[in-house]
This record gives sequence, C-alpha cells and structure tokens, in this order.
Amino acid sequence: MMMQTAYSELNVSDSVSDILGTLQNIIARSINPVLETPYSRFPNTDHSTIELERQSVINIIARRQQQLDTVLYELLGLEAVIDSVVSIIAERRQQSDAVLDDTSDLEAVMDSVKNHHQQVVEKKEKIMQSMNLHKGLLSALWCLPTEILSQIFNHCLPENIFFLSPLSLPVKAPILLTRICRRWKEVAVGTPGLWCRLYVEADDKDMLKAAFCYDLWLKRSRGRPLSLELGYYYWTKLRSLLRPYMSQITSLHVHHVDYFRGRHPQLFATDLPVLQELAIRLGEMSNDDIPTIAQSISQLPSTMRSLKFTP
Amino acid sequence: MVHLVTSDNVEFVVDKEVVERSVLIKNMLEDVGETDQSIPLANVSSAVLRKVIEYCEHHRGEPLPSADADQNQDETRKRTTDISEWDQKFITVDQEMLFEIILAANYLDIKSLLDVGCKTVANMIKGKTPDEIRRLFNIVNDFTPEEEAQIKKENEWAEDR
Repeated sequence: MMMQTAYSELNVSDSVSDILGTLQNIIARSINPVLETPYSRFPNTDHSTIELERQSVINIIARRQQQLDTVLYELLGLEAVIDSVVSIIAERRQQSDAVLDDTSDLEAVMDSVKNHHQQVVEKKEKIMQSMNLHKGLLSALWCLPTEILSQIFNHCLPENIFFLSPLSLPVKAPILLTRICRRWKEVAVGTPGLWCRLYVEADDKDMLKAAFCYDLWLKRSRGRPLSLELGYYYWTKLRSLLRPYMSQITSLHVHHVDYFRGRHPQLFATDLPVLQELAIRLGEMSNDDIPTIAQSISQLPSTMRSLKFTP
Repeated sequence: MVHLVTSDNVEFVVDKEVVERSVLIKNMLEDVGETDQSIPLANVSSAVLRKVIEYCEHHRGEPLPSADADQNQDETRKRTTDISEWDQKFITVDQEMLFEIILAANYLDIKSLLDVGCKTVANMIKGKTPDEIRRLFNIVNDFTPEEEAQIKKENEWAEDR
C-alpha cells in the first residue's frame, strides 16, 4: 500500500513537472508584439496617404501573420497543456473516487469487524463469568453451611473494634464481609452478633449520612445486647440516634466527658435500663459536670455490674 | 476400639478415648453401647478422617469445651488468634482439605477442631481487600450495579471522613 502510494505520488509529480516544462517552453517562446504603427492611430482617415505607403503596410500585415502564427502555435500548445491537465485531473479524480469508494468499503468492513469484536468480547466476559461462577460453586467454601460461614465471620471481627476510626470500618469486618458477594452479605447481615459493638463518633460533619449508617449497623444487631463506645460527640444528635437502641445497651464506654460542658445528659440513668458495664474517661471534666454525673451514677439501673473511671 | 468406615469404604480402628472427642460418635456409642460393628461415616473421606484422627490423638485427654463456651462471643473473639503452634502446623493444608476438615469437624461435632478451622479461614480473610478475598477463595462478585451502589451508600459516611 505504501509503495503504491509512493508510486502514485511519483506519477503525479512526473506528469506535473512534464507539464510545467512544456509550459515553460511555451512561455519562453511566447512573443510580446508591439502592435502600434504609424497607421494604427488613424486607420479610417486619409486613405490617399495609406495608399502611398502600401508596401509598408503589406509588410506590417505579413509580420502580423507571422505573429499570429506564433501566437496560434502558443495557443495550441497551451490548449494541449490544458487538455493534459484536465486529463490528469480527471484521472486523479477517478483514482480519488476509487480511493474514496475503497475507503468507504473499508470503513463499513471496519464497523462490522468492530461490532463483531465487541460481540466476541461480551461473549468472552459471559463465558468467564459463567466459568468463575461454576468454579466458585466447586469451591469448598461455597459448600460451607451458613452457620459455619457465620462462625468464620465472627472470628473475622477485629480484636478490639473500639478505637477503630470510622474510616477504617469499611475495610474491616463486619462491613468488609458485606462487600464480597451476595451470599456473604446475606450471611453477614443475618448474623446479629457481628453488629453488637460499635464506636460511635457523632460530630456535626455529615451527621445525616453518619446517622443513616450507624442506624443501619445497629438495626442489624436485631435486639442483641450492645456494647458501645462514645467518642467526641454532640449529645443531642447522639441521643436521637441511639434512642431506638437504649434498651439494648449493656456496655458503654464514654470518652471525653469534658465535651459535655455542663450540658451533661441523664445518660447513665433512666435511659439505659439494662446497662451492666460503664467506663468513663474523665479527661478535662468541667466542674459543672460533676454534680450531674454524680447524680446520674446514683441512678444507674440495678443491672449494673461494673463501673470504671479513668483519668 | 471403635471401627469407623469412611465414604470411600476405608475402615479405621481407633481408640475409644480418641474417637470420643467427636460428640456425635460419643453419643452414638453411648446410645448403642459396646459394639464391634463399624460406624459408617458417609460424609467423611478417608483422607479427611486420617487428619481428624491425627488431631484427636494429639488432643487426647484434654477437657472437651463446654456446651455454652460459644455463647460468650467476646471470649470466642479473644481466642481468635490463639491457635496453638501444633494446631497451626496441623491445619496448614490446601484450601480444599481445610474446608473438608471444617465440614467433617462440624458433622462429627468436634468443637475445638471446628474452631481451629474457622479461625484459620478468618485469619486468611483478615487484612485483605474484597478483590483479594474473592481471588483467594474463587468467589464471583455477583453484585448488580444497583447493589454495588447501595453498598457504596452504606459506606460513604466513612469514606467522606
């Protein structure tokens, strides 16, 4: 193809240079006659004078004939050149049309090939998907009964889910287990024990999204006893978030009591009827909080078994 | 001695004290009393039973875990990484055998072996990305785009932080 193109280009350039050569010859031979004569200024006056110089006029005519012949010859040459150029243009147009036709045909072929390629790619994807599905079915893991899978998942929980930043939750169990495949998600969501511990950190950043996710998590505990750790938070928001689960909370670790700032709630008393374990990290507790905390502790439910304060 | 016959028709003669680490067999022996008859184990192959017996022999005489041991989930979790050196070496087998041992331990009701198997699989899962887990266990990601979007929504609160 490349050679053919080069050859075509060579042809074009040869033809054009031939024509240009011919044209240059014609131009070189071209005359530029001076047509003014003593008679040309008054051709229709005083015929008697013209008569007197007849021979001179005849000579002029003869010269003109020669000039005419030369110009006619030049014209013939130019017409031949024009014919050549027209012929080349026509030929090139023909070739160009053929190329365009070829290109159009090739484009149609290309479309069809691409279409077929896409179909084959899709076919390959489907075959691979089906093959993997069937390979997966052969995997012994797939054969494990739900209760065993659930037991494995239970062992996947981090040693201490507390102190895990929310950022790391999606890459750890139990959330991680919901991101593998449908069955794992079903089993993980259907295993309440996986969702009974949570570090709740409710600040004012994207509280709506966080509340949605905390709620989703706690719902999955399906009424099981909850162990919660509360980080920095705005109490009002946290209170409304935890309200449906107050009667499930058996263990509560509270951090940063200093953030209560005198707005300390009746958190440890009436709200948590089944609380068994309470651990409070006092931090830089405000003096305003001492009476309210003391009062709350005095009202802790009879279910309490452990109360710890740390500085 | 107790006679056990596997799914591939291989007979094992095992010490009663060893085989009674299986609650299933222990109960059967208690129900039928002393017998010379073989106990068929239709769900266990000889290769797997050989491993199970190896485990039971090593742990012969150890107290059986109490029935309510699994009730305390925190305790269970605390024991997650606690696989003894011998158990770890014992359970270092290919994936197929690992799952076969788990299934056999579940069928024969050998809690401690089931526990070792489950912990081993859990330890294989921990610290891996979803893709790595799928590759490891040959699991197909069969979530629809809508389900993927839902999972993303469930986690975006954490991702935004």
